[in-house]
Amino acid sequence: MTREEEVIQLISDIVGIAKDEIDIHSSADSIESWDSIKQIEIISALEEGYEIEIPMDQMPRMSSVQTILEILDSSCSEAER
Amino acid sequence: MKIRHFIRETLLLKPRVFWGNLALLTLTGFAESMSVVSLAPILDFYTAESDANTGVSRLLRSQLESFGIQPSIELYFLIFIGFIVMKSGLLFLSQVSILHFKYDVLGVVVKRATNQVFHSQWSFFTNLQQGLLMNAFSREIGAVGDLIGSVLRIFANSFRFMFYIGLAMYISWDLTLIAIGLAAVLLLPAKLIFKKSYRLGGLSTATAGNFQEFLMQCVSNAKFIISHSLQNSAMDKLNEKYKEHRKYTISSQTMDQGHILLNEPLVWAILISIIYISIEVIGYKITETAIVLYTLKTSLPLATGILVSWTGVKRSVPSYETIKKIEGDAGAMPLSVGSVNKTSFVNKISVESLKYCYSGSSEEVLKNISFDIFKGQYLAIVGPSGSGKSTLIDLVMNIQTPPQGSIKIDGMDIRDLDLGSYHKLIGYVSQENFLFNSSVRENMQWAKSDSTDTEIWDALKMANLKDEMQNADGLNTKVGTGGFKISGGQRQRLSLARAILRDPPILVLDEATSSLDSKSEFEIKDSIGKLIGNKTIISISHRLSSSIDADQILFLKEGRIVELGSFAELVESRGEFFDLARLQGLV
Repeated sequence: MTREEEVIQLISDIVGIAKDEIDIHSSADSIESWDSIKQIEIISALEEGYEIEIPMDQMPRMSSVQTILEILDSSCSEAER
Repeated sequence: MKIRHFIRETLLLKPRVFWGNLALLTLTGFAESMSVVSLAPILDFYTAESDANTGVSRLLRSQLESFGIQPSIELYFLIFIGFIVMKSGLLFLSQVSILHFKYDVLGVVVKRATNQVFHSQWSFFTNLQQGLLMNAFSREIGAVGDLIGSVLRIFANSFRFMFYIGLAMYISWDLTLIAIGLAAVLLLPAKLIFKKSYRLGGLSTATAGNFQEFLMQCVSNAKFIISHSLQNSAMDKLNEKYKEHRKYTISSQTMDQGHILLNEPLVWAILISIIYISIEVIGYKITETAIVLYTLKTSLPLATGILVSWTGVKRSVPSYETIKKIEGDAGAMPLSVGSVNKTSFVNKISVESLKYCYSGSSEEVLKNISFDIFKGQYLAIVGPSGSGKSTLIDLVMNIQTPPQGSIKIDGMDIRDLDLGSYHKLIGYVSQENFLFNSSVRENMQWAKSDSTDTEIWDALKMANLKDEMQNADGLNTKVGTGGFKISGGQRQRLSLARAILRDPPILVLDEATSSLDSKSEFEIKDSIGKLIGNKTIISISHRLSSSIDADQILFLKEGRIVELGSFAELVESRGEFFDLARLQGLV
């Protein structure tokens, strides 16, 4: 499973909609059940799943699949360093 | 951040006051529990056949008798009222004391952060989002105050809670343990809420910083926005940022409020269960049940209060972390502060093999710069934008520290000098005027607080501003916010007059005429002309016209000295300076 698929699966589980309804362009604006609390749950799940710590100033940006993947990539590569 | 680190870094800044407050809280807890104990004989008197029905009543009665005092209902009332008064008085005292303590500690936190910020190099300010800084020193400071208050409330409520539980255990340990078991139910949902509350608090802080940053940018670029009719676009973007902040802040505060309200029915469910178990199952009398119930009814909201304060702590810790980060970032770039007091400029300033890179970059913006400026000389540093002129001036002013090379004044490295004494030798006039919304007199007195009106008028005369100010409201002329009530040329001459008032031996003019019209530029140049020979002048400008009268011109390009010499010498050498001078119509 690619990272994108993993993230989409995780978002699907948390916001409660089918994963085929989520793609790289999905965001909190396009998915009604993706509210601020769900966003926190997504961030916590990503931190636990990938064993990383996402900087607080990046968290507000994590409201779309695209930006989540971008931040995840940079956080993971930083953790590897 | 761990709460114990926060406590060590803040509350223990004033250990005596901190421990004094804890002692006061202990005394308050004792008085509170005693006020409950003294209620037992009164309840026994009216509900039972004998006033010595419960263990508590018997204990109080025997204590009174050991002092030779005959117990009576009137005495019980008196003791009860006495403890209530004592409890209220101590509670009031401890709350006032906590309030004082909170603002004392907050004052230290603010002072520590601002001190670090204002003693950092100039690059700290250029690297920083100014909105973040403004947000930190307005909203976040308030949140840190709440954080300190929440931690102190946790201490206060914990002390009271322990006394109440201790008392309940003394009266009926089995009933109390059952109650504690039931109350633990309250903790489970709270634990789940803590992490989310912390995260949402952090997001609320981050988005507030973004909103404030953008708002500040809009205000500072208001002229651009209005002149291009970009108000709607700016408002849309501002609104987007506000909505983002609103979303997280509402969630964060809803979670806290909801938590409090959801607790209320749970508390009542627990109390009703305890009454039933106490009377129907265990078979306690009404007095014991009532006192245990009273202590639990008082201690459960205390426990809830502790949880709510804890949630508040979790929510506010990111605010403290923001302040700490700014403090840490500023602390990582301190001004180089020596201890040698330098009170005069005798011979020369020598710049030797100077190199400079911006923070986080390896590209040199100044490459191996060396030159001398002798006392009384006029040095013009010229060159295109981005050539490193301003950076060079920042280094000469010692508000930036070079990674390599040195700057010496009369043979002394400026990094070894007391910065205050070194800056007294320099008058600085920049392209941006730092004027305060007050009178000409007050603006001038920022440079020299004890200056007389005569000295101020003399400085204004040197700066070619005396006549215009005399025709206005004299030294009482109001300059407006940022000096917008007077013209650009007047603002610049007022800044020059302010520098002259301090009578420093060195004058640094940082693009001082760049944004002025020809007439204003002429007036400033005329003022500077009066100073040539009396002061050592270092002027930087991208306009070559300002360098004609200079003893020496330093032509910078891409961080290197391309040419160095007088105007006539550089023109004669037919180099890049000559080409540029011809392009600007000077030769």
